[in-house]
Amino acid sequence: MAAVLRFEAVSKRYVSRRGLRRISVQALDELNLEVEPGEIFGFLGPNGAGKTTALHLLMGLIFPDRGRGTVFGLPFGHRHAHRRIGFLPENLAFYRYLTPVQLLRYFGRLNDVPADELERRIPELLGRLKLDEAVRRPVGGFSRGMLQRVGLAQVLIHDPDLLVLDEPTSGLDPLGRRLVRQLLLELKARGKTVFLSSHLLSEIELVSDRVGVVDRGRLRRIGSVRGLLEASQRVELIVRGASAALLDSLRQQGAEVAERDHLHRIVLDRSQQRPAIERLWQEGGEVLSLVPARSTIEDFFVEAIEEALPPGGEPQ
Amino acid sequence: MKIWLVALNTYRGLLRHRALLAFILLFLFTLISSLAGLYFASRLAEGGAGEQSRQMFARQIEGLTQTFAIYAFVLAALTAAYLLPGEIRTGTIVPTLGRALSRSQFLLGLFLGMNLLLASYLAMAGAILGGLVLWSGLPPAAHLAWGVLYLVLIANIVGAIAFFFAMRLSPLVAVVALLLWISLPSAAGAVRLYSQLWGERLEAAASRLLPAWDLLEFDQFLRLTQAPTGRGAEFFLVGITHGLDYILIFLLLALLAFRRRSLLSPN
Repeated sequence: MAAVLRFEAVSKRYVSRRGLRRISVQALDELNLEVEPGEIFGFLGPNGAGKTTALHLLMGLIFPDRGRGTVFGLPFGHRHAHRRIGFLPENLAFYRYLTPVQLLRYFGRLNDVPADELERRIPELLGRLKLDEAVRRPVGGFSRGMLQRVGLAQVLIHDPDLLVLDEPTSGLDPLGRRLVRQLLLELKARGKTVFLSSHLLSEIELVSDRVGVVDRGRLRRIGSVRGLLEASQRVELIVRGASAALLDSLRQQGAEVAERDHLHRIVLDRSQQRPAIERLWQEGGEVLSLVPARSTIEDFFVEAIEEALPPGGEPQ
Repeated sequence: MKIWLVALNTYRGLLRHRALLAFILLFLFTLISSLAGLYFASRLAEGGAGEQSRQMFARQIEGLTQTFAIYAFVLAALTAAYLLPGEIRTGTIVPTLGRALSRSQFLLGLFLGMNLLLASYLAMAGAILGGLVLWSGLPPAAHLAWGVLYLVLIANIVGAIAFFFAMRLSPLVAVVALLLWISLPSAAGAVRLYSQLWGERLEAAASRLLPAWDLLEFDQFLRLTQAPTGRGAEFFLVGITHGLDYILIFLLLALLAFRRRSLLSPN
């Protein structure tokens, strides 16, 4: 299946002047990446790794120095490709004097959405994003969280096939974050592709099919989230009624044990999981939950960054 | 259609801009300060000095017309110089250009938005000046229509030049460069008073930089006290064609400069 989004050895260097000094920063260094149709791709990286640069290149806001990229087979920034893309920038800025309805109508019409379709879609989206009580207020007076919701509404107004989202949950409360997660999963179920850049590893882990880690402009690692979870060497058990002897024995085998509210949280190697559970049951205890140790994506991220570090530890 | 959408949104934004309020205040100040002269002229008419008062009225209105014309150029220059840099600085350009909209359509939309503001300004100024002409009892002059046409043409040229310079350099440099450029022919005239040689050199430079600029003599056609020199159809045709050339060339240069411009500064 043809990739929806493709970076082919894309490089970008920023050059600025401070007085007589010429400062040059390599933001992207031969980035190669493909995003398949229908997947949610998590794009991870530390601050200044080049994530936002990659997104801005893909939207045609800046231009690569070398390499090329395509979206739906068209070059980056092509307006016919934009008709199928919904873009949420990290730093949102809208015309302050427009109300959400006016803003969505404007953006919808710029994306060739028919008027009757827009009139149906706008209240639906505003309701879905819990903005229906603020429809008459200009967006200039909105809080960061409300602006983020308007941003998500403008992403969805033309029912795009590819969503390019830069920190979509930024500024949102826990309910808003949950709403975004639900939306992303619904969109994926409808066959949409999502290219998601975020710092929040837990968010990425909950929704993404694949993740890629970029650091100092290069893609350091790429892998499927399911594969990572299955490959996890440690699991986390929450148990009730474990004997002191069992807990001591697990500690001696290298497990981490913590007690809280008469429950025990045990993190142990996958190989120890079965004998530990069987012994617990024999002693009359019960297992309340069993999940892969939650630091999987974090480990993946940290390993990718550490592998990329030059000897000595600090980035150059 | 999309150009029109951008234009309407630009116009809506310009109407709410704080700088426009300052401009309206300046406009009102000019108007009110010249009302004293008009009031004096009307009192003269009451005193029986009919012809004298009409002449005075006409001069006052003429002065006001010329001032309002200069304001139109200032409005066009400032609006055009700050429109696009403002969109880039605030970041509103990012979600807009993320749409199925080309950069050319966006830029032309901004230019048309500037023209909508200019049209509103001219309608307002025209209504006030028209009212004053009616009040003064002066006969309506046909050549004023040419004056208005030249005025719109020059304001658009100023806007297109400001667009280009603001794109290549900065809004402030654009406004300063524009002022220097436009005032070059009159500066040459002033220099000629002191030095014939340098005056001629400056005039040669002005005619090279602004060929046929002197054909756009808007001030001649915005006069009420004396009719402009009789001109043939060819004169108007050549002047207007040159004016349109200016607009097209500078808009094209601005479009070319904007096509590959990075819209974000590195952070």
